[in-house]
Amino acid sequence: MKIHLKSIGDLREYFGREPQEIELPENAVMGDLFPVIEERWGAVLPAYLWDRDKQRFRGAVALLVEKRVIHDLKTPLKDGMEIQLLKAIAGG
Amino acid sequence: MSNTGNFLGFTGKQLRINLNRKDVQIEPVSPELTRKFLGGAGYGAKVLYDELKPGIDPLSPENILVFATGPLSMSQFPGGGSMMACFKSPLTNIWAESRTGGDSAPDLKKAGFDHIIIEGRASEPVMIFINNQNIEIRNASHLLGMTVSEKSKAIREELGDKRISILCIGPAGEKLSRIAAIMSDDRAAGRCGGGAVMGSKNLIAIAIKGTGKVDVADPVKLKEVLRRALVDLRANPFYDGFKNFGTIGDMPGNDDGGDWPSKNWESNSWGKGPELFDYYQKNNFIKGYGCYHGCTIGCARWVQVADSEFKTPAHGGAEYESMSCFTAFVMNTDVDAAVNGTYLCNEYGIDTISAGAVIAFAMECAEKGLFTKDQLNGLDLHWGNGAILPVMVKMISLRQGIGDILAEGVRIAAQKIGQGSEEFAIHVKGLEGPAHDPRSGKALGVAYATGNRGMCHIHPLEGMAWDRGKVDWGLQKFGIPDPNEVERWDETGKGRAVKLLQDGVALSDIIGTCKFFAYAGMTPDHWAEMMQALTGWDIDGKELMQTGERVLNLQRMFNVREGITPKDDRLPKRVLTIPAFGKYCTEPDCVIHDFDALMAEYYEARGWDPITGAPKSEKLRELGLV
Repeated sequence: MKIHLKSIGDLREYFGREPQEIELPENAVMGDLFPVIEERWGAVLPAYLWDRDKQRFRGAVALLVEKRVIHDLKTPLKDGMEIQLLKAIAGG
Repeated sequence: MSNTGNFLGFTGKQLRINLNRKDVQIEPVSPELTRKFLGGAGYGAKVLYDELKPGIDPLSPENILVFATGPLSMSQFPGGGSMMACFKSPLTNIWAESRTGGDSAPDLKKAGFDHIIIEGRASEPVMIFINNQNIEIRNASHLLGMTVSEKSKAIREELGDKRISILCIGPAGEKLSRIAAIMSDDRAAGRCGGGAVMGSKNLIAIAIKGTGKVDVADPVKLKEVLRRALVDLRANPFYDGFKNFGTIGDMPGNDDGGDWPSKNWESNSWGKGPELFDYYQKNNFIKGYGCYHGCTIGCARWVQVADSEFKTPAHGGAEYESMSCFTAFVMNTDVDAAVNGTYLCNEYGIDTISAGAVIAFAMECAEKGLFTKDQLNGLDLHWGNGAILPVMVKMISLRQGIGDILAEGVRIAAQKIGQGSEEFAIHVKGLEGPAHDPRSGKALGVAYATGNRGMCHIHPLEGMAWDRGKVDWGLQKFGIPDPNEVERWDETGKGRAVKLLQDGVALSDIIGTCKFFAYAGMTPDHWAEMMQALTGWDIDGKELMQTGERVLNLQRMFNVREGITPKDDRLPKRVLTIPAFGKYCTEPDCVIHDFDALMAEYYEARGWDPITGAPKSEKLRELGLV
């Protein structure tokens, strides 16, 4: 299946301004995105954002579908789904 | 015990306390004025506009200090631990609103009062004790000189109740430092010098105990509205972000994104943010917590310097603004020194933002050789000297040595020091700039220039949170552009957008809630639904937006009456200059190119006269202000 990874705000500097197409197996879940992120963007993401060893975001980066946070990394993905990446603190 | 006065959802009563006569009056609150101005910074603006004589010295007995709750300042509401102090600022000589978290507002409601209005000056140091409907004015001479935590402990022991809410000043307020804060344990109504206003009134503390409740119009509906609100909050990314990382979690990203004023605003990015945050997380951070009973976000940070020359007890503090002002502002990489310095700010009762700003200003003065040998008196004010930070906090708080000049804030300090120092005194209307930079997102530039209390990032608006951070606060339906369609460094349209954003984001300050719940998804429609259930009013998001606009215009009228003109709606030159170093020093697009055009667009959107800066008469009529 194909999903679209759309980064928002500052994250576009690293992921690109346009949604990025990602190919995943049919029964992929949200957590399956992380090895792909490591492979495609691990080298350019700053260390404060991405932990290359753990293949996880560091800090407050959220995964959203239709503007709502997805907490469960076992959430199934669907073909054509758009997943947004957002830095989830702004201000203070 | 039910506290409802003459209308549901409010107590309907306020305290008016004249400290000259030690006279306490319980007054009814007007339902009509409450509907029009709601509470918080709105109700406070109405009281001050109507009752305060223009031109008075803010440190004279003629100043009026209003502690205003909002309709939602109760612990069951998202962000309800929110008390607003309103006064004429001794730092800026204009409108001041200064918010603190904690339980004081919910406790005041439970005691049976919506607001406290304080007039005059006591002949000796006093504490006001509000014990439900019994009000005492007690001698507080024995509290003088104590730190904030010492005072709070002493007051609770004296009154025999550990759960009493306290609003107090530290030694800085007693010394009338113009950047003194009003403290509520480790929370602060930090900005604008409210602590000095209390000190000038000989008002050392207010203790509040309340055990009643406010009657709700439709409790069943309210329960359902709050349940749905919590579902929406938990689905919002900013809810988790603030909960898990606090505001300081933004330090690395802000440095990277050009939103980290560094070296007294010479740059907007330093490159040290990630390593300083990592050190903090590993060595200082203990846990997150909520500042009031019932907070479901819990963005506050419990921290400590466990073992070094900068050792502190475990305490609440060291959040984004404080730590940024004690690191990037002053080029300090010693995080322990920064935590210690901000801890002392809380103990002495001083605004961490203004303190960091004035220390940075002093460092630049020292670099340029503007201090005499006597003024410096051996102080090592070189950039990056973390060890001097706790020393300077104490000196500024107690007005010792050079601290006496710096306690006046950067504007007055620069006037006194002269020698060109006004060029790098970074403020708007006298309020020092905080740790957010309009070179990261230009909406903030408009917000800084036009904010009614001065160069403030949060009252009413963190503009860069919209055009850079992509937060829309649920305001797209009220006309703001989708932030995802806006580029942070564009200028066209930002003046208009900031007007709408200010109207909407001011609502938290008016309805009496913590603004982070608005970041985390609570919109004017959410607030309206809560208010419908609370009061029985037929009120919607559109009316709330109008209320926001009304309040901001009333505050502007207050300021115009105090002498503010368009020449005061300007940004410091340094903030309009390409950064001198860091990631963006070769990025010309990051600076505002046509500030006049931005302001012209804003004035037009506001309906203000571009010559006088005052709201036009048709705007005032539209808003019911004449």
